[in-house]
Amino acid sequence: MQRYLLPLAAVALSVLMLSTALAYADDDEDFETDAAYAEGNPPMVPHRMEPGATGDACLVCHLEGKNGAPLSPHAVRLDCVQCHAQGEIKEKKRAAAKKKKKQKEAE
Amino acid sequence: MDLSRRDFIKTAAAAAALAAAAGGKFAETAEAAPDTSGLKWGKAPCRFCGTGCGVLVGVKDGKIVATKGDPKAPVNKGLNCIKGYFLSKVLNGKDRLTKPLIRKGGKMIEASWDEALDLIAAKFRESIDRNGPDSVAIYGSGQWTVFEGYAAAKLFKGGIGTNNIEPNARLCMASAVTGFMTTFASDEPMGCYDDLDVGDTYFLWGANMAECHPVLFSRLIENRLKNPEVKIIDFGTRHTRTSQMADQYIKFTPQTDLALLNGIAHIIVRDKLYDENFINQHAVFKKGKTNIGYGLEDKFKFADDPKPITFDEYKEFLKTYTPEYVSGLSGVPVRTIEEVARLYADKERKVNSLWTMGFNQHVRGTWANNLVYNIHLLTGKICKPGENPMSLTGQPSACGTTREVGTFTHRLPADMVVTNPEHREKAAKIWGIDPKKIPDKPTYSATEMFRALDRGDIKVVWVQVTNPFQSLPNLSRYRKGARKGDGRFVIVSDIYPTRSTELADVILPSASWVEKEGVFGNAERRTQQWFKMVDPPGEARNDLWQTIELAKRLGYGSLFPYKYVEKEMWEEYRLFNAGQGKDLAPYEAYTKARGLRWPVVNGKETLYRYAEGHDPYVKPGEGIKFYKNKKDDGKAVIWARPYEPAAEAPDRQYPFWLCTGRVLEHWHTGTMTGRVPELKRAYGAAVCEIHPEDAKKLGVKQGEKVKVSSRRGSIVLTADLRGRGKAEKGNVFVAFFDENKLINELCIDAYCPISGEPDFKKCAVKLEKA
Amino acid sequence: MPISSVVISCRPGKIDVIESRLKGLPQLEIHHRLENGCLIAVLETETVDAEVSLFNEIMQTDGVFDVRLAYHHFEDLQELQT
Repeated sequence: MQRYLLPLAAVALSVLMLSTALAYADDDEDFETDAAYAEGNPPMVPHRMEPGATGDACLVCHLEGKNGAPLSPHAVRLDCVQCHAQGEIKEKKRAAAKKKKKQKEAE
Repeated sequence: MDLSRRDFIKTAAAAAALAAAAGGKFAETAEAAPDTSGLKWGKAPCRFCGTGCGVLVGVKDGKIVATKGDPKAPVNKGLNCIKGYFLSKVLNGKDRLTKPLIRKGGKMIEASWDEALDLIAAKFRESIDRNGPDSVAIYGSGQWTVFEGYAAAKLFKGGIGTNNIEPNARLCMASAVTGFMTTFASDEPMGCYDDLDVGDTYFLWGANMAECHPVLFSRLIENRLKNPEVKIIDFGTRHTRTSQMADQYIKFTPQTDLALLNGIAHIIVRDKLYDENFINQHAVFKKGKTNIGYGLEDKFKFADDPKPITFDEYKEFLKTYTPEYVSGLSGVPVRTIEEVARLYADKERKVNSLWTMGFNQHVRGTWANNLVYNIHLLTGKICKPGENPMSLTGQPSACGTTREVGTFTHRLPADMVVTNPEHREKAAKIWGIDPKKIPDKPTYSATEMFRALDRGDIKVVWVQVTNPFQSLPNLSRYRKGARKGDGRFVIVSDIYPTRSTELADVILPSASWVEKEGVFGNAERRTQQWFKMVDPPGEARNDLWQTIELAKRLGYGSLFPYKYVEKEMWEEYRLFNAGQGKDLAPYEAYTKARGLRWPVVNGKETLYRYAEGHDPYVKPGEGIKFYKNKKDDGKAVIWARPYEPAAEAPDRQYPFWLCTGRVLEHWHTGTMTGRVPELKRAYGAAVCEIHPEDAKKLGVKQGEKVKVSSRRGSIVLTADLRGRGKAEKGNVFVAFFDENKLINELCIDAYCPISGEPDFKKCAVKLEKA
Repeated sequence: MPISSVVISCRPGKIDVIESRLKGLPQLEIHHRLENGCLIAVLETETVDAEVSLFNEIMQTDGVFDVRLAYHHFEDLQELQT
């Protein structure tokens, strides 16, 4: 998030806001803030998944980052595949890239 | 929340953030941080299922650029499912319909709106003059906004003077409606989603919630995480992701849910586990006709004949459903049936039942709904926080539009019916018309409507926001019927080319979701509003505008004298619900709130209907009162409904059960989700789920082709022996989202005689190696 | 009673100023300070509205260039328990 506010204005604004913190709750709708607060989109899964796998299987790696897996910031959510659907499988990508390279070399 | 629990959560939260930050997930430099400035955000309910998740939509330069789960939406609290996360892509497919198209000499030729609408009006006029008003029809949708449904109902019933209006919700929720009406005399659940957070026992009946109501299923899982006492029990005919995550999966033979429900009631009565006080105060007993048929003949008619019975007569009726008998029919072990009954009746447990299409798309769908209410009424586990039977809705506004506005052949808004002269009077008064205009007899349910088109009794049909020529059962007949000519004229309003637009005489490019202002009503009675945020592409127009334009051309423009159409229409529609226990708030309230659950009285929404302290219509001291059922003094009905077999069970020639349904990644007929590359990649084509032993006998291996045939059609599919859904022996499952695999051609158009809802879950097929 | 945690990305050299400013807020607890200039904070407020406002405040604090929501937890059960 880029901050284009001038440092002075920002400080003034912060001071103002700090003192009116509680009053914010009664303001009109501020969808922009709501949206900034919202989570981003869930990344697709770049590796093969067992069709019957549920959260317990995923968390074997993603709870503590085994095998270089990214850590789950919300390990309490157990139905992973409801949001994280199968994406393009990395091996296929690598294989496709290899093929392209071979084709290029052949030319 | 006590201190220690709070501390635990805060520690967990900090750990989660640390993990996320340490995992390098977040931008570490100002340059890498994404620029979300310049996006204008607004709120809307999700376009897809009946859960009704809140979504924030970000628009830039007139295009939807991003969507996010709305953190302030009470339904989903910032979470979406995979379909919801792709909402920003769903409307941007390359082949959006942008111009009206008219069929000329076998080709679809671009035309102007005037030309198309003038032609449509002329065809309507011609058919009405020649064959009467019942020769024209409109087939709408549970994905219609409230405004679109209201306008259609008003034009057809109050203008043209025909009851030929039906929604696709006839194919999904009709049995739930008739279940509600026969048990409680009022449609829609008494509980709300809060029950998912505070109950401790959840029986899922033929509902794959993990894939079809994912965000609601998440609430169940989160509940169980917090409270280890929570039990989720999955009754199913196939093993799904839901079964995987449930505490117990109980498989049963298709159709025997009726026997199981009665079997549970049998044990509750046998062992005196029922709440005698509750039954005396709040229930009456009735029986109806039996051997009620299957709706397979054209113009099938059925009228039930309810008769009051005593509790003793009901006990006598239940005697047949011994655990042994039920076990023999269903394949569920006797011990399991006993355990389930005890769990249902356990006084220490807050029990909920959840169901969707397993019960509704059923030749005895009304009965199935009645029978599950029976158990809750016998045990008194109803109308209390965390203890409710909850009928889950499939479509985003099957409740809000089709059921509440009443876009069915027999209906008027607010639970009213065309057969009741007082109801017609009231509607006529609000609409400013002569009550004699509204016909007093229903005409056709959805299946019968398309049979009528096939026969030629209906000549002109307008399809809006739905895809019947992919989704009707026994599909081939109705596809052929549409193109029989001889005066037939089919108009389809949609956003993409579909298997229905390909059979149309006129195609009208339409606006979808946030391309128009709208209101949806979800499964927990939450009405949610959104404003228009982007323009539809090309010359596409809102279906509401299209309907009003037709009205004007037919001389019924006076029915729509509005300037700010949506708001004024809402205020007029509200008049129907006021004072009826279905009250809606003024329009502004919905523009501000993240939805409100009706009845909304004095600005306050209602979480639990019929319950004192929650429902303003229940007077102090009444406790629980089903006040809409005036005929039975505010009591609900416990129905003696027997087990009756399916319309077409497997036999020697066709030895397998075929079940159809949805998968997580695709919505219904896949016209929207199929155009999102990521979703298409995640689940590309429909497959046939087969049990490995059955496959072995056929000589079919994983990934090989299998030919599935019923008496009505045949299709070749890839066999899936170890997918996310695992078929039981003697059963196969195929999803219906694939426009290249019209599985509904195999389905039988048998329906529940009371609700008219077809049974998409049971017919007989044979399999051969292809 | 929503509880959430955020990762606050601070401009180089600003982390001390930001931490001392945010420490003054009653509904916020700083839990960790990371080497890469991020602060981990846990927010606890009465309502979601208040939580979102607090989030906005942090965003507007001078020196903060990114605030990311890492986890949020809702527990509004008080009113439903009889």
